[in-house]
Amino acid sequence: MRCLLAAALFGVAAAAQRRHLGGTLESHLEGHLDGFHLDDARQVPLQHAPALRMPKKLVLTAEDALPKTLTACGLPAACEHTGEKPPCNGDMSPVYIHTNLVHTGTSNVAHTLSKNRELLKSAGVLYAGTHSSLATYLARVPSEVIEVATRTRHWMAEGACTDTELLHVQQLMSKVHCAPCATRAVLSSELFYTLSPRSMRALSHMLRPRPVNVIMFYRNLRDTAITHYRHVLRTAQIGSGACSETCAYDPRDLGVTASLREYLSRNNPKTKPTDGFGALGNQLVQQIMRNSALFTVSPPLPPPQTTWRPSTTRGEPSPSRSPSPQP
Amino acid sequence: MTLIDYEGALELGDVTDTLLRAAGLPDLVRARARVRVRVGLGLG
Repeated sequence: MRCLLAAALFGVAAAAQRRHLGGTLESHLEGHLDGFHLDDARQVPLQHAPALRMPKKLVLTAEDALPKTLTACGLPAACEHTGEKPPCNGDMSPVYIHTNLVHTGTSNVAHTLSKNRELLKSAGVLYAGTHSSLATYLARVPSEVIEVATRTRHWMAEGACTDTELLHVQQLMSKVHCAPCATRAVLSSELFYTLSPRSMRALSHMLRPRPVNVIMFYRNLRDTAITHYRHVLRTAQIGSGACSETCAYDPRDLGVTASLREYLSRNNPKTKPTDGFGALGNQLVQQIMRNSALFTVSPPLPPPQTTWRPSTTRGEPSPSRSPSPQP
Repeated sequence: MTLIDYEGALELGDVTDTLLRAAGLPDLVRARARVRVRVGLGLG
């Protein structure tokens, strides 16, 4: 009798537990699988077990979370003009990646393109902007992660809305991918040239199926050095506060100023607007040009039927060099 | 890949126009002219 009573009590407890577990699982699925309802479930008959109600899709992928994540970050979940979305029958206009070495007018080009964005748009060119975020993203994120992100075109992780770098990357890539098929896009950043071949390949992969063309200005080293020195002249720290031990000049000699530019403007005022550095500054720049001309490997061809004469003009041979070829 | 001589581009005039032309894109001079023509024809 005791055994029968114990068996009956155990059976009731087990049935109650099954009901409890079933309710928990069901409510869990209902609560967490957005867009999937158990009413849509299909019956999967098992040989030795009662039929289980299985949802159609059990594994959630990144693609499922994509619209939700982008919307949560204030980004559109899909292209607005869906008729123009890739693959465009495989016929996509290219993306032009503009990058430069230093002192080859990158800022000027970026400013001009940005100022004429609407004009370029009317000519079928999308200037997607200057994005240092993209270059730094490519430099720091492993290629495996980029590959997975690229597959779903989802470069933002969930809850990463505060990461402005990722936000910029997502916005930029969405802009390019949502552009009409015939629109040619231009990306520009001075930092692209610092990327490794692996990162550049990753960028090309990110922009698929659009073909990628790279455009780059180059410049001879002498002019680059002069421009760089002029830049340093304008911005060099020469003797104020914290840089007292590392600055270019001793504050006791030139006084406490933030930069050579400030020193020149204070002690060597310009006589006319086009006088870039004032008389003293221009004299310094001319001296730099004369000195750098000494290092010209291939001087420009001399004009025909002229005698050799010393000149201080940039690009002409230095007076200190001999005109006759050395044996 | 397209390489452009910077000094040569400076001699030609605007660096940005040289960049766009080298890429086979409509440069800003041509784009402005196109807009002027469209406005002149009353197309917008």
